Amino acid sequence: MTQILADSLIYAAEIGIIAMGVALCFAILRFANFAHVQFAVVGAYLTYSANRFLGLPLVPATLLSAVATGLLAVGIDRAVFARLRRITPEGKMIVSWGVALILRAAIACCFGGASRVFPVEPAALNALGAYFTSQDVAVVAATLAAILALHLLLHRTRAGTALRALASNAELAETRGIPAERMIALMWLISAGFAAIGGTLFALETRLQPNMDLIILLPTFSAVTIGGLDRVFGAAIGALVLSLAQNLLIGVDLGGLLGLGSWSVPTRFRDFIAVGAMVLILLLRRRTPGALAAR
Amino acid sequence: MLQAADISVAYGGFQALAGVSLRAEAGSILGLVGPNGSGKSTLLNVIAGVQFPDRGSVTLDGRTVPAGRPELAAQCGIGRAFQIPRLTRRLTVFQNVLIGAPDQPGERVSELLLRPGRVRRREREIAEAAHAVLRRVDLAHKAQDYAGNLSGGQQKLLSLAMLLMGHPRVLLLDEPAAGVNPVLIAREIALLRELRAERRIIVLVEHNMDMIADLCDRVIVLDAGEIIAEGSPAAIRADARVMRSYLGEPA
Amino acid sequence: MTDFAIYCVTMIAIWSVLGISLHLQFGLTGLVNFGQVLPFAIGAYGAGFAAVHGAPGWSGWVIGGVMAPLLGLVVILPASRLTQDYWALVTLGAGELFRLAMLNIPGIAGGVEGVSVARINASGTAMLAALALLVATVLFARRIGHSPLGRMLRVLREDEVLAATLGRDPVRFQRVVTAISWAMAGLAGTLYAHVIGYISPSAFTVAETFLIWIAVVLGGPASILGVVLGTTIIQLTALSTRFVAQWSQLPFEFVANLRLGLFGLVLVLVFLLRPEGLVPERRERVDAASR
Repeated sequence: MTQILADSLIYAAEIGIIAMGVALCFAILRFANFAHVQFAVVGAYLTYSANRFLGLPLVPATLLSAVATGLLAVGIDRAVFARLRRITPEGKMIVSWGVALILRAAIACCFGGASRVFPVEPAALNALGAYFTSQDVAVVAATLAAILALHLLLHRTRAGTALRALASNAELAETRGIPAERMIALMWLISAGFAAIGGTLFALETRLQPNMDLIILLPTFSAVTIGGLDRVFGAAIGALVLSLAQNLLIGVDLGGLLGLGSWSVPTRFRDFIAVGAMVLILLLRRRTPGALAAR
Repeated sequence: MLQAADISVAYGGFQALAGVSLRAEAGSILGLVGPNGSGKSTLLNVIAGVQFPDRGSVTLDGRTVPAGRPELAAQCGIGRAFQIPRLTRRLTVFQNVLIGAPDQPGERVSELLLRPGRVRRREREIAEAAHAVLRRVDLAHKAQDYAGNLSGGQQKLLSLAMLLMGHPRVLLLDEPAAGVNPVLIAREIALLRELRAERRIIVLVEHNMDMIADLCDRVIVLDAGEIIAEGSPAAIRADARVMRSYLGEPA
Repeated sequence: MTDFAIYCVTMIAIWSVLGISLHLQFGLTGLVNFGQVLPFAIGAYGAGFAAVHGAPGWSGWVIGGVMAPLLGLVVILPASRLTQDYWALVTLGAGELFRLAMLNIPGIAGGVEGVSVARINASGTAMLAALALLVATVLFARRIGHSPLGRMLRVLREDEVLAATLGRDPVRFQRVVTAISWAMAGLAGTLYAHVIGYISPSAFTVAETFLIWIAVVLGGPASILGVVLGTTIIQLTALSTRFVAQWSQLPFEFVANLRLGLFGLVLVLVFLLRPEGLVPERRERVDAASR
């Protein structure tokens, strides 16, 4: 059982930090950004390159990659999303898919299709009946540090307060003099930076390959949805909930529990659980009162 | 007779309407006035089924109008024109008026495929009615323009025309004179008088006090979701409470 | 070479039917469906299911033409309760759930390995069948587009509340459009299965949904001609990847990725520069009845 908890925590850390970026983007710009997982992949590849070709150790390489990916996101916003602020959220989603395709093609063309592995040799550890590695500990620690840092930023700095104001009521915030465009740029820096870190963590734990984006996409969006779509820290919790749900359903002998002979959900249903949870949560949304009149 | 009983609506912590009731007889024009945010549009929305009330009910000629279902309220004969006119900007003025007509067999796939003749006949009927209505509101010369290209005042007239196509028993009009030039306002007033003579019920939300005084048989004054005065236009004008709550009313 | 040309026409026809199904839902009615691959997959898997379980050949068509729209009616149910973007995510999820179910439950239709289906061997016949389906779809879509129904759908596209205050139930119209549109896509799917002769889950991913979207957005969602034109351009680009790779001496994978990037670029550029698409909605200045 502790193994299930440990595994869930580790997986949740990888996905959660990416999901938080999606939630932040949703909170500020009000649309689900399909290109977000591409930022994660870009970040992972940039970290790898900084580590391998520039000789930087992992931590500075990751931070450098986070900054670079953040700047890339700001650039993409300037070029594309900034000019489309007024279109419908669905329209923005479609455009973000286009951006995602461009990024995906760029990554695949630059780095090729072969998968790579980070040159790390983590120490194997054992505690409370669960097996994990020193890298796993680092991954969880990194995510917790990132969550803490974000919380401090959002609640203890002026920029953070401005972001939160923008998230809760964009029109009001602008009349109060909050520079929306600059805050949006900050949002992209944080959001894509987190994606880059998350992508790196994910690649460290599994492997680095161009189709990482497809592997990350469903769990990430599911986590964001479970967490309430525009709730940044909710996304982290959503990731944990999803991860636990997946591992419990797959790891626990459900058949044994029901007295029907040993059976558990096959591992390959992970994604199914993720998407199922996402659809279920969306369907259970209550319509906000007065929505019809407000349209 | 149109009757709204004890309507209450709250958004979050904000009480938009608190136990508001109104009555309007056939062949009368009821004015609804009050400062901005007093709940006038919300009340119209509730009657038209666009807004679901927390409490209260609406009846027309004794029959209950289903709450929160605008299409059912419309089918009961209630027509609503909005403060910011709701039109289909990408269709022409003529097409907008056409859609105002209810009972179009051409909107059913089975009719389109199996009874095209009937669809064509009805289309011709509706087209004639549309031409007539456009002449009545004097927008016939704009028939082929895109609705989105009309001026604000013309859009309000178009709204009215669309409404009339449905032969509504009740017309709920939300500031039909706002932003409209005086010539068109005069036309609207004449039209509303005709409609009253046709025994329809008109509820008129307006800030234009001259129009209210000119047209309305009775006036209800709302403030902060409650009725603070009711009576003839002259009585309302002299009411001290109304003076206090209402901005910009010349004594 | 003629074989390839015939294949191109067949594929363009099938994907054009899909594009028109999206034209009805989105171009006319304003419904944003990110799961249009779902009815397509249902149709294709209908053929697969029939093949695996020994059902007669025509049952695949019934599944495509009947079950697909039925499922569409289920998926459209929450649409009136949710805002458009949330419903779009629901449709995305629905499509993925179907694909994942087909992928992970081998008993239905082959699982990850897919299943072979009775193939229309004569490529000319396949092309004619596809063109026949396309012509039927175009005629039907035109009939709707030029009718009072099409007019009311356009009202719904712009303002649901307006339609409701005019006495129309928006949900009824959305149901009708969804049923018709999904039936078209379902039939296209069944035909697709019989043309290719083989189906597997990897052909029905989110990427395929967006392939339809790119074609529709590029060509002009509100115009049937636009949608067919957009599909033609996108499909020809996709189908010619092989030749471009040969001619340029670049590896196939590389060119395929470039093509993907190109599609993304097209999508972004259309939104930035020409949102109505190549063929904008035609002004219907004179209604037939008003003459």
